[in-house]
Amino acid sequence: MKKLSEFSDDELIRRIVSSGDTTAFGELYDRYAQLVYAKCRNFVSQSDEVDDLVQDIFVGIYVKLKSFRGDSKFSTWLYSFTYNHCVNHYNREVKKKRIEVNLEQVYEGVAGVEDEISDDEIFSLATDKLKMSLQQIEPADKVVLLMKYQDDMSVREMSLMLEVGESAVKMRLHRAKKKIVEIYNSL
Amino acid sequence: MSNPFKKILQDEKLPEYLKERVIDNVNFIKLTLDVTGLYAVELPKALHSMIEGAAEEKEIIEDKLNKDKSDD
Repeated sequence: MKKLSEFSDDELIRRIVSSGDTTAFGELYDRYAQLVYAKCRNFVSQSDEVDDLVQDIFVGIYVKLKSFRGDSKFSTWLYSFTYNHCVNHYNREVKKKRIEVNLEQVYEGVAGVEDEISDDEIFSLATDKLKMSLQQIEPADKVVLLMKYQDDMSVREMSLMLEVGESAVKMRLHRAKKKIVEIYNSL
Repeated sequence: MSNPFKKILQDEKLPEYLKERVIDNVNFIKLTLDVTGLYAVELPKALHSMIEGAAEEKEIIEDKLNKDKSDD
């Protein structure tokens, strides 16, 4: 008989959705928990808070797994779920009043004239200082940076996950790269 | 050139006890869903089939009585 560790993600998911198999879910946890944990670490610094976030995310995944339709890779869906959860957590915790400014419009005008920050420039940043910079950047900007540079998502995938147009993704990415370099240089 | 975003991922180590906490929670949710399903779906189904069965039996008895009467 095939071991759970030999099952593909899709086979495990089918098993969990059809019978609620928690052992199969444990296998899915083993495959992805380390990455989810590292991603949550980008959003909160307290260890116990990170543990609670990871726990909430995996419990949420178990309950919502039925809604995964297989349009994207499971990992893409999981990371997107993780980012949404982290951003919501941050917004709840900080409870800061947000002035709704349509940043897409604001940046639309400047994107064309400002210099694009190249991937080489991003890759030249030192890991420790980048980590500190990520602690300071807005969660929404952090999400697009992690999707692009940690998860290797294409603009199209990001557009599907964030439920915005591809041009809006490019704009957000441009803004986030600019901000992270600004924060990095100010440290 | 190496990607510093990927290096950040390798720095963080997942605590081992967390799996037990997650699986305990998930087992509790499964139990809750199973019990809810039992009362919300299986029990009404069983009651429905009992009532249906009783109605069928009643029909059979009435048919038999009517048949006996007509034979008399």
